[in-house]
Amino acid sequence: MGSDKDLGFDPCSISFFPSGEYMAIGGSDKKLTLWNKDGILLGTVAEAKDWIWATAVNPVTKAIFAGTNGGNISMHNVDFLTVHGLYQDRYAYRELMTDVIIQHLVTETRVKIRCRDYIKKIAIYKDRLAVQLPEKIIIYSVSGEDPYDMKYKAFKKINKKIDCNLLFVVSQHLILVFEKKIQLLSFSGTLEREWVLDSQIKYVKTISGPPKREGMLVGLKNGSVLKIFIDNGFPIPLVKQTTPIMVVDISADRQKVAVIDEHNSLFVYDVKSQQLLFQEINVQSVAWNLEMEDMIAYTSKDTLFIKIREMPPSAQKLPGFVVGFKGSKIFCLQGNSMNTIDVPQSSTFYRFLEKKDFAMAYKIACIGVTEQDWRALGIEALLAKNFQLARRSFVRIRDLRFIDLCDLTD
Amino acid sequence: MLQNLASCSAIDFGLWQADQPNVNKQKTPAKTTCCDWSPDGQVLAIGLINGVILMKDKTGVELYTINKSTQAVWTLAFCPYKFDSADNLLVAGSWDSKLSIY
Repeated sequence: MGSDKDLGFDPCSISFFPSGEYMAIGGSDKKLTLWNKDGILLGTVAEAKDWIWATAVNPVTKAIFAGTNGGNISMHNVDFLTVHGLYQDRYAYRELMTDVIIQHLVTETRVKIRCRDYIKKIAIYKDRLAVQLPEKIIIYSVSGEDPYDMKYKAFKKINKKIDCNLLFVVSQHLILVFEKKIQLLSFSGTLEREWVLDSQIKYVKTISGPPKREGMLVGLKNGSVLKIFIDNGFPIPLVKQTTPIMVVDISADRQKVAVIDEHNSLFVYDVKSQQLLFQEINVQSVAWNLEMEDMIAYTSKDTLFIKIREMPPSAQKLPGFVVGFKGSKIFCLQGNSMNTIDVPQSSTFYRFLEKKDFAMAYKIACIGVTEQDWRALGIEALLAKNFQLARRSFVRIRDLRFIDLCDLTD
Repeated sequence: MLQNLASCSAIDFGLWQADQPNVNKQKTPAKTTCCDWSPDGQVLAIGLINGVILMKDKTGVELYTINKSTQAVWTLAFCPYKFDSADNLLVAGSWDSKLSIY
């Protein structure tokens, strides 16, 4: 009826957390260790000089107390950090230290993988998911054809104990980020390439590419932003700043980079001309639209700003941080949960319409505006004798009379 | 809140109830080392130095015994919350370095 587990030491005291998910054990190994309710070791909270005879968990603050044979009582606060990974519209995070939840942010579906071991790191990319456990890394995959497939199956296992700062996965490789170097590992565990950089690595993000030729963006402490392709040993410098970099993102057509530095200032550069396009202070997070060049979203003091080219940004109250932007959907991290928020495009759409920038208005409309907005665009374009665009707008809303009118006048 | 108190000693354990003047005492086959109430207060688990866990209901009637180990059961704890199953989860540690989950 029960299950036995060899601890390797004699336990003297067990205390559960009030939620019942975790327990603290103290004993003859002189350590205060944290376990989940199924008896999986999650980590060592503290090491004492003598046997720990007694443990207790504060039911309110969840601080763990330990009393030792030597007469010492100690108090330890335990924080459960968020471990997660995001790639475009897929978000994976750790739940209860041993489970992975993968959330598809567009279809709002989610699946759970039980790893039955302590999860150290999670990385996600297109059809791949990598989970690092204390003794191994497991790579899961889904079918690459169906973009909404969520049936993750174990694909490869690397039985290696690796102590890296960040972990990323691409179609055929793992990327391990250390203090000043980045290593490329094949799924069989062999080291294929290594980049040694001249400053501390602060931020890495994978960018999609053909298999075995994916890229990544790297932000350094010395202010450099680099682009690294995994089939090329030489990093490509994008921009150079004087302040340490915290976050980097690149636009859909890879023409512009957004950078947030240590002082929470946002800088947006044109990659080709190296020109600073605009800057903003007190910005916590930034994301380019994945489907439309030039559209950028950033969070500053609980407010979401969306900016297109030189237009003044549109603002809306939104707690949390924007971490992704796809079409008209904003992916926003609020505390521990990831939310998908639809942002209306109508206001930005009308700004371009007023300026008679029909091409741009059409692009925005494609992301998502109402039928009325399409009609307004069609009529305005018709008045400006831009028949082709007017026709395309009316086709969108299947307005046959106006389509005929466009054909007649054209 | 149930008004029950359990006390354990080297040879016996007692069940105290707030509304009764008498203490219901029962002999145990060995020294008791640890005890815990289940979260609903209906089951008392007692760990003994001979490696046996006694499960009693709140009036002291024996439900079952678990022969966990040949070494002392030094610590045990009920999980304060029931998860997937309707059964309580009991975790016990004994001095042969074994942790058992029931």
